[in-house]
Amino acid sequence: MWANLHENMLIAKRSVLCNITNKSVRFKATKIREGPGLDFFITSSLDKQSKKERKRLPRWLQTQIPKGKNYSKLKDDLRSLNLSTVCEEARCPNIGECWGGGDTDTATATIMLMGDECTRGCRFCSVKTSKNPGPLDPMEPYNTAKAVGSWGVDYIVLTSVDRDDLSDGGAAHLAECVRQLKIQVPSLLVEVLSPDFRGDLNAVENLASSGLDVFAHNLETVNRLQAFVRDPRANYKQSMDVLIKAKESSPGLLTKTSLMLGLGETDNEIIETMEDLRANSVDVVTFGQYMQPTKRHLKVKEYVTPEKFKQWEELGENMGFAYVASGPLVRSSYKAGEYYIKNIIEKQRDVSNVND
Amino acid sequence: MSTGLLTATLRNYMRCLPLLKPSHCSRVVHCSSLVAPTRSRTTLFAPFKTVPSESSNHFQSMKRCLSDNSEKKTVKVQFIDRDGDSFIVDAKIGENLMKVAHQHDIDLEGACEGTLSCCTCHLVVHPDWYDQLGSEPCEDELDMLDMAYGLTDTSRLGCQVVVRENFEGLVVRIPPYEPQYT
Repeated sequence: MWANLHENMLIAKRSVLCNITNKSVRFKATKIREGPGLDFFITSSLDKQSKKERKRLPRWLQTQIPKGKNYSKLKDDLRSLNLSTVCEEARCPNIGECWGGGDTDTATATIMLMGDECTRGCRFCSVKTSKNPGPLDPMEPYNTAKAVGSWGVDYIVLTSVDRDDLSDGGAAHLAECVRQLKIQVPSLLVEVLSPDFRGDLNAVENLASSGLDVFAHNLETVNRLQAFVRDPRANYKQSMDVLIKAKESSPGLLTKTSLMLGLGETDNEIIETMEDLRANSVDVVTFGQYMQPTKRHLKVKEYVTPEKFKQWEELGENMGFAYVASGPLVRSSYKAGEYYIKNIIEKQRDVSNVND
Repeated sequence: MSTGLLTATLRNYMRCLPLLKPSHCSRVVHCSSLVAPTRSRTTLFAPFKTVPSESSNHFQSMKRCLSDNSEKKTVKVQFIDRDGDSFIVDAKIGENLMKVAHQHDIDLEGACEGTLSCCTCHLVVHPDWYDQLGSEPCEDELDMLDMAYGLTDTSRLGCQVVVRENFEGLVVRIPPYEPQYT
């Protein structure tokens, strides 16, 4: 009897539930039929909505999460010596590969000198910006040389923030870093990715004559987009003058520059820029894909395909550049270029040895 | 039991009702040919002649969006981006315009994060609103603005303009880029 009662109650409950559910379903169906249609939600702002959305990252730009023994060791070394890297500050997508050592097991980092606060605010760069960055660390040249010495790398790239607050833009400090490196590790090949020192050509000469092997300074983009992409204190002519002066100061010096693609430049503008660079005896150019580092920076206008990057590489080599590194993930100091440039420098050394 | 179930069912149903409020990206006129060859204020903000204007449909639709809530936490602010497209957003009172733009995915940059060290959040305020912002630009802001492209008499840095209650209907323009060749 109890079992029956229980069962009857269940049936009753189910039927009440069904009635209510059925009623509400019918009610709902009516409301949906009579209510606003899909077009209510699709407004003429659909184009704007899709415009506001970021382009999806294409598969060729997806990189590994950085990890591993070399990566951790590098991170610890840098922190203990109070050094910053542009790899971390600018959120480089290659950090896992370069720090991890890659196929050849050669860990590379690009050390950022003169602190991690830049006096300029460019629309593409996520390095911290400050009007008054901290004072220079007088131990930095020594510490940098010591750290690089302990790693055993044979090619190092040094880069720095802009220091418009310093009278010489930090040129003397950078030159000292190079000199210390050459003292501590004489066989080391040194590349410096230099600021423009507000166009102070004496400062450029000071750095270019300090003994470095490659002087790099990035144009970043084509002439038309300079004032949009870079801080207004930087411009095309000023940067080109820096590269010209560096070559003048030390004729054997390799000069190098980098361009970011995907910011809205046209093919003709890129070709014009490459022609200008060749005309000013710049030896190396690299092309990489611009990637939006944070939502406070420029959106990507275009994801250039690897095939297109290859075309720029071929064009560059045909135009007479000593070396062109071109690819979506290539950056100014991407490790792949180092080996080739190392070859060029060693070739040059051999030639001059034979002549002597 | 049935009452409880009915209430729950009705509550569920209410959640399914479409939102009848217009979305915050309301249908606004596309100002497609809004490239400013000169720094003329009227060109930058055409065809929005003056704001607020009782006669404009645009203003009517904005009025409809106003909530009755007396404790207003947000106000409607209009951003016109570099291409001339308009976005009316709910700006939180007390937030600066640069952050408001970022929160609503408007194409405005902010490289120095509001520390008066760059001019990437440069905005042109509608002339009718410039004197109602509640603050004048300080020396440091003017120094940074001096470097910006597309500078006008009513330019401000977005990070220095804090949203206030009277900002309902504010219109600001991200200036279109003017190439400078060197």
